[in-house]
Amino acid sequence: MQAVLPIETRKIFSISELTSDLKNLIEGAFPEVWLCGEVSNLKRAASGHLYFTLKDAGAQITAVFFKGYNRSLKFDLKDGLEVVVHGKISLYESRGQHQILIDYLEPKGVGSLQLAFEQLKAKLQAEGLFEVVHKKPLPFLPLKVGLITSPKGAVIHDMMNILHRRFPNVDILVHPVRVQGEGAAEEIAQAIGEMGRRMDVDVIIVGRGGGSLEDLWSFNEEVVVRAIFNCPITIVSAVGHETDFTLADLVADVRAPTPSAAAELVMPEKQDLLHTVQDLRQGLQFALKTFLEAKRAEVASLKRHIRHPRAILEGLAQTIDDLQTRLCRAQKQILEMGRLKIEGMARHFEALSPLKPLERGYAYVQKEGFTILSVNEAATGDILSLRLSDGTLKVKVL
Amino acid sequence: MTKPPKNLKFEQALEKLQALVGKLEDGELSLDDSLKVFEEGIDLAKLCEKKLEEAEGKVEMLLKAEENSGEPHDI
Repeated sequence: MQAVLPIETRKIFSISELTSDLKNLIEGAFPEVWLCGEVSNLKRAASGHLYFTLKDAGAQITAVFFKGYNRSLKFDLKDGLEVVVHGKISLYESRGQHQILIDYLEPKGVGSLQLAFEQLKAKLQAEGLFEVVHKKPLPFLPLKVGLITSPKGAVIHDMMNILHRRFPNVDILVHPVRVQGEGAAEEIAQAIGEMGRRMDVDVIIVGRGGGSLEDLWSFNEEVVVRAIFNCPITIVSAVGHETDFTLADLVADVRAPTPSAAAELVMPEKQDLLHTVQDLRQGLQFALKTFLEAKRAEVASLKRHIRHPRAILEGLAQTIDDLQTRLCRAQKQILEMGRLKIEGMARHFEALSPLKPLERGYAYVQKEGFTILSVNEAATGDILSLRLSDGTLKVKVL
Repeated sequence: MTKPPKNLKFEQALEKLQALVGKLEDGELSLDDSLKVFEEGIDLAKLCEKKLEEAEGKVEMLLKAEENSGEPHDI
């Protein structure tokens, strides 16, 4: 039996007809489907549409992710990424190719926000935005504090209460912003830019209360991170709770675990500062008092050792008198001694006087003017002089 | 020693004041210098107290529509 059918009984399709039937078949079978696979051959057209291939070990399928849908993607799509997608299958007739038109895409395993966070963090970290060397210190005493936060809710009131409690007359400038939702990141970035240009603000706190990763997402956006980095005024991030860490926290000069903690961090207590100044004042006064007392004691001590000039003179006068007296006495003594000596010598001399024996009856005999001592010196008939105590006798020797 | 400059920051004035108290407590200065240091210290203490009262306790809320007064607009 011949397999070939007569020409009249064959149904001959055109390519277009077949393709059209296939299209209906395929699109009818998969009006929506969830797929999982690996991204490869990723191309981004100038139009913003994304074209790639989704594959697994055994097969692959062309994927189209139009701009209208992919615009909301928070993270960067890359080759090699495992993704879960939702879309509908279609047949692209002119190429005869089936494909999936994706309306939703998420990374497999980790949330898309989480992935976006990690991608941006890595990128900015590589640029050095989080380095400690860029961080500015808190001012010692901020007299004007800038707040960038939601004007609604408890957070702003908590911060203002704490600031005022610690320093009652501090000036506060609030730039209200939306802290979540579409466009919030741009608002926050702009507020930071504007406040950073003011010369009167000493420190800025930017933050919000707690929430989910989605709620806090604005503080992970690149535009906010760059605004914080470029801010010339010291800026404190205060986002969510203690355990929440956003990229804003990493780039800020100081990270506070909560908005209330931020207010406590930036504001010193006025009373503490006043007491410090007053203590120092007292320190000055006490130190001066002690110093002067010490000096006075020194002067008094020196005074005791100094004698009055008159007293000195009087003392000297007395000494002079004393010396004079002693001099006189000494002189007298010397004279007296001399006199006695002379008297003694005189008496002695007198005793030795040859005239003294004459008073006792002796006479000395002279012959022709010379004294004779022996009888042999006179002959009979000589004329001799006899000197007696009261005169002379002339005598003849018989 | 002259009066402290008005634009001296609180922190710097406080540090200087602490240094002066230390100097005076050492007691190594002459009488003249001691009196000068005392005077300068008192002036700094007054400046510090004045600075603490400088802020007026104003709370200003910037309205979205307004630019900050006096800020030049970017063209």
